[in-house]
Amino acid sequence: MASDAEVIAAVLQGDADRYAELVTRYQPAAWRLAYSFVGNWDDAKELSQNGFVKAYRHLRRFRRQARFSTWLYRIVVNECKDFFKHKARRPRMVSLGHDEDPDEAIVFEVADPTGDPSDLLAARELAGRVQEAIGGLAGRQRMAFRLHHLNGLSLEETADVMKCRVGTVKAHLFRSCERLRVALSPYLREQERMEVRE
Amino acid sequence: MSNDVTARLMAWLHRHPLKRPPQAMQTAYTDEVMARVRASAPAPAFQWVLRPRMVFGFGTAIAFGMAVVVLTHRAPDQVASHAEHASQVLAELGELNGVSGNELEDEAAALDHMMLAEADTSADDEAWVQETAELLNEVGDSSAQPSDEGSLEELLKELESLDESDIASS
Repeated sequence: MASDAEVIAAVLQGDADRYAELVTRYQPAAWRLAYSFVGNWDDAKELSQNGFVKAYRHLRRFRRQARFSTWLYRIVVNECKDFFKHKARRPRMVSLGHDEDPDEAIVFEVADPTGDPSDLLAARELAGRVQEAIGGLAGRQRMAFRLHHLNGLSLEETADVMKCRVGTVKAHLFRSCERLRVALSPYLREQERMEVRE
Repeated sequence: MSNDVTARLMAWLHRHPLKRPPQAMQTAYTDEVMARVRASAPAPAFQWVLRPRMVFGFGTAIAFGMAVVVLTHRAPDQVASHAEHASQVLAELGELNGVSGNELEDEAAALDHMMLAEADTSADDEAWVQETAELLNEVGDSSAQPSDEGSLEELLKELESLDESDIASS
């Protein structure tokens, strides 16, 4: 499999079709990243695709110091910011109403290996609380938490996407974890008690 | 205690990661992106053509060159058009009634001589007298032609007397 640098060099020499390799390679991560911001697959798909198209158009400006994926994630995050700014939309909050489609409402993969419906319901409820608590974080803290803990970016990649130092990312993550701990302690303890009973 | 709760949160997030996109929606994703890539932009290798600064620079240089060429070629035409416009105005004012083209040329030549006479560029008096005599001869005063030394002195005296009579009359 060709490296990112090799594919980029081929695309810059005029072989546009090679760009499909990068799209296929980073499509799931970019789509999921947008999804963690906007909360529905359709908008997330459109925003992440916009990110790929913009990355292609500005590929010549790409500085090789960073990884292509980091650069792409930054473009996708900016797309998500513009999405809320220009359309005056708010990030979708989790709803636990029974008339909502649970697959659409909950951001996390909530599967119950035991197959017990009550456990699944409890897990989904906790997922909703976690999502709600993350949504209540301050802007930079929320972004750092999403990029690092939810999307799996390293501290360095998170710092690159947020255009700040690694130390600043660590500070944001520490504060965000503290806030989530306060907000989620009752639910996590309840979860623990349930697991102990089982 | 706080570390314990945070660890539990992290463990929970690890067990329940972010959802993956639905498989049905994933298949067309790359094709859609590539269709937009091919339709909306040329290959990045040729994007320099689309750089606005460069295009603006080229455009300005070309426009300047064309302006210079056009103005250079139009200058004689503009002089001719000014002359035509002037003759049209004179014709409308009735100044050219009964005047032939040759007469106009003669009048223009006489006017030139008068202007040359008024513009005193002679280096010394003798040359000035010579030029004046030639001019008078050209405008029809044959007596002004200096044939010899004596007639030149006579001409000078005549001119002085003309100056004095001008001063007296003014």
